[in-house]
Amino acid sequence: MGRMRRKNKTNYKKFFPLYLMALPGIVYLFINNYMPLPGLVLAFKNYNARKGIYGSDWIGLKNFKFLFATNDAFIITRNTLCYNLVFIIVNTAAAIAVAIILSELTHKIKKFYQSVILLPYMLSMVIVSYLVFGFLSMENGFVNHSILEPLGLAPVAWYTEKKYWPFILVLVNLWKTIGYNCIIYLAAIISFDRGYYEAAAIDGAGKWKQITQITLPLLRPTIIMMTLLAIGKIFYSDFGLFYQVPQNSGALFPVTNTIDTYVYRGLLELGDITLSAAAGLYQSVVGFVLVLATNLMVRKIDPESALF
Amino acid sequence: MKKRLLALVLGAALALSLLGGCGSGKGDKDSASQETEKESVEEKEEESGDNSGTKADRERADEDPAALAIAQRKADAEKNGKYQKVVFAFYNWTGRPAGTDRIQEKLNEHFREKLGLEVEILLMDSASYTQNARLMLSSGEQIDIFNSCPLGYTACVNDGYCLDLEEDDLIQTYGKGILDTISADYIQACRINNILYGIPQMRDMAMAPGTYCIGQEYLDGIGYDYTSLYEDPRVQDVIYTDYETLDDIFSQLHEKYPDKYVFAVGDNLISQGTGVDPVGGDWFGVLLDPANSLTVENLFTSDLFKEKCQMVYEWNQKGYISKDALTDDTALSAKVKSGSYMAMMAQGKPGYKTQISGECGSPMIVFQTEEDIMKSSAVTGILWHINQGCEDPVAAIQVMELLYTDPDVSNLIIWGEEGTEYVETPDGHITFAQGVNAENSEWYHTMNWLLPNQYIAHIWEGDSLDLWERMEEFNDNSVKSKALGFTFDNSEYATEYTALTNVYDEYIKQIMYGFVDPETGIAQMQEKLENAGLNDYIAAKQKALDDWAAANGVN
Repeated sequence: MGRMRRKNKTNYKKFFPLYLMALPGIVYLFINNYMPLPGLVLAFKNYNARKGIYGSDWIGLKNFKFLFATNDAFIITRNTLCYNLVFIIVNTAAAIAVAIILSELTHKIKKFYQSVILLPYMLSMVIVSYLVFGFLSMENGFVNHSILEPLGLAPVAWYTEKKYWPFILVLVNLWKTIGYNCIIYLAAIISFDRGYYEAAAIDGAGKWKQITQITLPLLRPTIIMMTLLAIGKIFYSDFGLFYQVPQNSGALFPVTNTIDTYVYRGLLELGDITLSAAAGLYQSVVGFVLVLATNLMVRKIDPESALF
Repeated sequence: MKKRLLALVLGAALALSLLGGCGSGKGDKDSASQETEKESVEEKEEESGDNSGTKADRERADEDPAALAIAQRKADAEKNGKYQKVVFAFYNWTGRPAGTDRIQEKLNEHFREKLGLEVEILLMDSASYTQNARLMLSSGEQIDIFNSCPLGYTACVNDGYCLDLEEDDLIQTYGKGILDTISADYIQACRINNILYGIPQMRDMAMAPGTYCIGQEYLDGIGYDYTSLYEDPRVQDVIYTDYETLDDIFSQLHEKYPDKYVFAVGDNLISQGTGVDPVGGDWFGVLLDPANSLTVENLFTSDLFKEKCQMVYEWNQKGYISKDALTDDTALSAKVKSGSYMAMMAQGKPGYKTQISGECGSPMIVFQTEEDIMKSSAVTGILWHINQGCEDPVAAIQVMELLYTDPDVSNLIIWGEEGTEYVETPDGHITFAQGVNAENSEWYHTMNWLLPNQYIAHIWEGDSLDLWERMEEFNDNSVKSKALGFTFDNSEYATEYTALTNVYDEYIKQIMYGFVDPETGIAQMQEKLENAGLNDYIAAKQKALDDWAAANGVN
């Protein structure tokens, strides 16, 4: 027992600088993410500044009604969920593929490609939306003018034709986020013991065999963690992607309206903070439940890889 | 070991700097709030005594509680060595101008002398104003006087942000000048359930719908003689015309300038293009004939809506409209200014020709197609309020009174400093000072219509000197909506409203910009709106309007 305590003590001493370094982050997290939590009570209230947050009248679940009571509820939930599912699958697959390819390159050229791929991640969605517009504009767009016209095809009114947008959105999202995801996987791959690969090469395993038999299995914990994090956000949509990139074009709503854009459009004029709080709480709770459920599933299948 | 020590030091430094930053911020705030507490305590102490101000102040104070309040503040300021502060928030389109601090100081020379206090000007661009003002109001930060325009009047009242201005006869006792300035009808129109939460400014309450503005150079180009068409040749302001003439002009323009778009289309086809009254502040249930009827009707099934949409649809078919119009949110006047568009539509008022020519960067000829009207929300659309959490409503209402009645203050806050921002011309107008223009001026926010009283300020060069008389005539002679002053509290219908807004946004641009055939497009939208609860919403609005009419004796 005494030895235990001493060991703990030395541990603390050893890690003290690390804790200290984490302190700003923890303080930030506390102020930004935990201190506002009591404000969630707003979702159940009819807010009145005169009475204050806690003094306002309690109205139960009434604020949540507007999310479910309409015909659009199905469309926005479907759009939010399905897009995010597709994003998770496509982005993960593509990011791993690119990370593996990058890991095989020489150091110098790797840095170059890495920066180029990461660049879109740094751009604001507003800028991205105008890049997309540069391609898809009716009057001067690259696709209509430089691709379809020379081929003798009729120009497409991209911003009113909803059938193309699921693909456009997936593509834009992939282009924008792949750099970031791929760096995380690349960092994991680089840390793998080269000994495995040398041993495999001696045993006659080709590159493909090495990837499927060594890299992917070793990547599994990283993939599971990244996917779990993404699932936690499955009820949130990237507002910029669904609002700015389609230029808020009404004709595209059936395929671009998600929970976030729906709430934004409805509440922009109402300006009712309790309804916004209700929508936010709903998204968080569902995300939280999904993370727990997914983790439970992972633990059933492979206890080692579960997050907690 | 050395490395670990370094890490420790670095980590500690980082942590300390962060905590230090937080700490000092908090400290400031605490001491500030302590001071205000102290001030209010002292205020109370002094109210009971009678030891304030100069002799003259005291004499006036015997007669007038307003003067007493001023004398009290001056005495406090003398004792504390600093003045009480009133925060005045408003918005423009471009954000805080460079000259804000200087103008604020100039204003405070007046406010210190006349009211014994200082104002702090909070000027933001309209988008950040919407967010920040709401945050400040709900979080209890100091914001004493604010405008509800971008937030919505009913929303502000529902959320409890607005002080009852007649509580203990506040405005009657301390802001009489405001009541003397603004006509009683307009004040009455601002009451909700007989409570006065806000007051309007002096401006155009009526509107001239369907005002089409066409670049003069293009009309000259097709040889169109507009000079003979002015009703009053001395004031060459607006030409009254009809849609056939307009159509004719457009087709000539299109023929002569095939490389330019004829018409910069916007989503104002009904709002600014017709006299339809969006009673209650939205398009789900309107008054089609607001001057004569209080029946709330469905705009989207009306002949008028179809007719207007058909008109734009035909324009689009003829190639008058840019194919990218649906996704191009550039302001209409900016489009005309770019030189690619020849005409646009807006709502007019006396002096509009000067304003729009300025916005478009070249002379415009203005054609009006509809009758002048004052819609139900004309008065309540842009109101000034005192925050319900304001610590000293008396000071706030006195600041407002000075803004409504003092020409020096009004000139300063509207046009800036004489000699720096503007100079007087020999004929009594004002214009930019030497070397100053709209781009480099440090105080040229053009929000004169928003600020309390532009009528007592100077008139900018280009507008006639009798502009305000003409404006009042325009207001007085316009057709008035019977529902003038009605506001609709839709908080019980938030679900329907959210759904309706989403359907509206989905279809309205395509229909109004002429990208779908109104025959099919309107029917589709109508079906979806009905599913989203349009009829319930209209019925609720009708009931609220009926109740309001009964309570206010309108029939």
